[in-house]
Amino acid sequence: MHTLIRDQEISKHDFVFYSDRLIRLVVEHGLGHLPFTEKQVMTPTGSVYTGVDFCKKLCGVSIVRSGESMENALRACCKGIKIGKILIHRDGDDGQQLIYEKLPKDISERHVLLLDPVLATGNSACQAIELLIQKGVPEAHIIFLNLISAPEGVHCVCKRYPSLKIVTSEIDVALNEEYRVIPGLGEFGDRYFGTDD
Amino acid sequence: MPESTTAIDYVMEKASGVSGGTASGKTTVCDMIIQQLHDHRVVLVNQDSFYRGLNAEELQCVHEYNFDHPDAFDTEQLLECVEKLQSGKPVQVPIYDFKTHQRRTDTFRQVNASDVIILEDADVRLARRIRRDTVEREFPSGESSGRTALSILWAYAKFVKPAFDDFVLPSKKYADVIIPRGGDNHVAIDLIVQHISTKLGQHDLCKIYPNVYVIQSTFQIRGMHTLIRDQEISKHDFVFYSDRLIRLVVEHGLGHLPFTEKQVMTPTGSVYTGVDFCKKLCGVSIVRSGESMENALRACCKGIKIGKILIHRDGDDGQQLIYEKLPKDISERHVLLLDPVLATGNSACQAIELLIQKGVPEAHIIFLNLISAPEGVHCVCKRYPSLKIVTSEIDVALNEEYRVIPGLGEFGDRYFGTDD
Repeated sequence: MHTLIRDQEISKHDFVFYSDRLIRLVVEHGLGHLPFTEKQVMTPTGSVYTGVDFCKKLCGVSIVRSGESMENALRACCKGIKIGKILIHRDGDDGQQLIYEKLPKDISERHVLLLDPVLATGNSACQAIELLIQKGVPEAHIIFLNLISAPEGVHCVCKRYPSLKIVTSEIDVALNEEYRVIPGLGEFGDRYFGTDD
Repeated sequence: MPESTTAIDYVMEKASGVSGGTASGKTTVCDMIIQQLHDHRVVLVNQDSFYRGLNAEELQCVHEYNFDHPDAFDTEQLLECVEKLQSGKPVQVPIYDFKTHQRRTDTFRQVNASDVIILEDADVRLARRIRRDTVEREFPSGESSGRTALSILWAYAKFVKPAFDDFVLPSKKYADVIIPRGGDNHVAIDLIVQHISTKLGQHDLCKIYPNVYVIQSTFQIRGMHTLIRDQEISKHDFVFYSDRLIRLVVEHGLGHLPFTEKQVMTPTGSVYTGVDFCKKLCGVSIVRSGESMENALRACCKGIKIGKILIHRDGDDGQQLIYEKLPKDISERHVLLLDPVLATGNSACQAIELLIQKGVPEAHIIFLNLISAPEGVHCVCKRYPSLKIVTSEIDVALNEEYRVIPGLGEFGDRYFGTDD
């Protein structure tokens, strides 16, 4: 699937289809890192099954625009989940500015799944995480979901926030001098939302 | 019984004489290990559960009662529980109510026999005694329960007692692992987690049959299983969570298909060395339950061909094929055989037999299950060693009516809403 979405020749339809499948896998994997409590249920055969109960207080936060591509998969797994948004404007190569945020009011009590398919330098990710922490979310309650991560971004985020978790499907080779992930897949948002023409 | 009683001792030392301290590192360490293992085959048994209930006299002067004294615990019962768990039997652990200082009479915690028991305990004499009992005594090999690997991890921690020097320091020589700095020692905890994971390995059946693949269990998967196995769940939720689980099984099954290497050019102008899917593929569902898995398969493989096989269950063993409709070129395709519950394996074997008759090579069949019974796995894997089974959980056994225990009842009826 990575081979398909990284191919510059792929049709938009296929790009969305396979991205969605990969994202779904990342989301399911990320959900597996949430805490749980033990629970026992009676099966229709009359036997006791010792299982677990999910963590109920949960929300998603997508980094506009690419992160929004991951919302569908998250909704498909968690019915009626609250999803907040953060928009960070990339001003040149390092000037990052937060220009919009809309988050659930009780976000400090929730476990947060932060959504961004491509982690490049980690600058916008760090800014988004900083905002969540300011809002009272404990660092350990944040799970950051990626499709593709650059080693630079992983270094940047993990060094600064050691108790946060990153779940990703592949770690790429490096960033190039334009801060794009290599081999990467280009501008994810443009390709997913069809604005690359 | 080669590996049945590997005892891993580890002593955690609080280097700078931490006094008092309900803020013990031991709970942190146990929690971290359990969280990192992500495995339901690890259970935590806390010594606190075995406090004796106080009598009326003791209750009156409860503030003077010494809860740290070994006599405050029902040690005999604790030992009995650990022994039972080791021999593969489930136990009922009491629930102690710290407000009333009594055991709850209305409820208890059922703990199933597990491959790893983490016993969180505060008393070194108790720990020593259990150690002696488990290391020196010969246990039955547990052949009947299908368990061979059994590890016990003793967590000795928080010895904030005057007897620290007398009891804890000498016991260091019995420890296999010593963790300084407790919960902050991520390296040590990682090593222990890795060790347990390796010891734990896979389900026993996966050791016997290399062609059985159980998808890696996470709390999310376990949670979904808890929901779909609950007899009280609404039909809507049953379908929703079954679908999510099926999707994971299908994705995992697709991962076992062959591939060829392929290089593509990414929009950044770099070369990405990846793989190309196997193109010749089809699904075959065993009517009726198997049809519940078709949607997930279609969601992953656009326009995939899906054949059907209907096998009528006539009594307990008389199986009869009464309908089949398969793609004509099925012999050239890789086949994903769909059936959410594998019980005796009789209908599965009949379906596989039919596929082989139609010319499908055995090695080209991947059989996808949500829940498998050990009997069914034995039956299918023995007969078809090159076929692959991908399942999300292997259950305990079949009952005398050939239904999977604990199982989830009649899957087809629950999924299609015909169980009223």
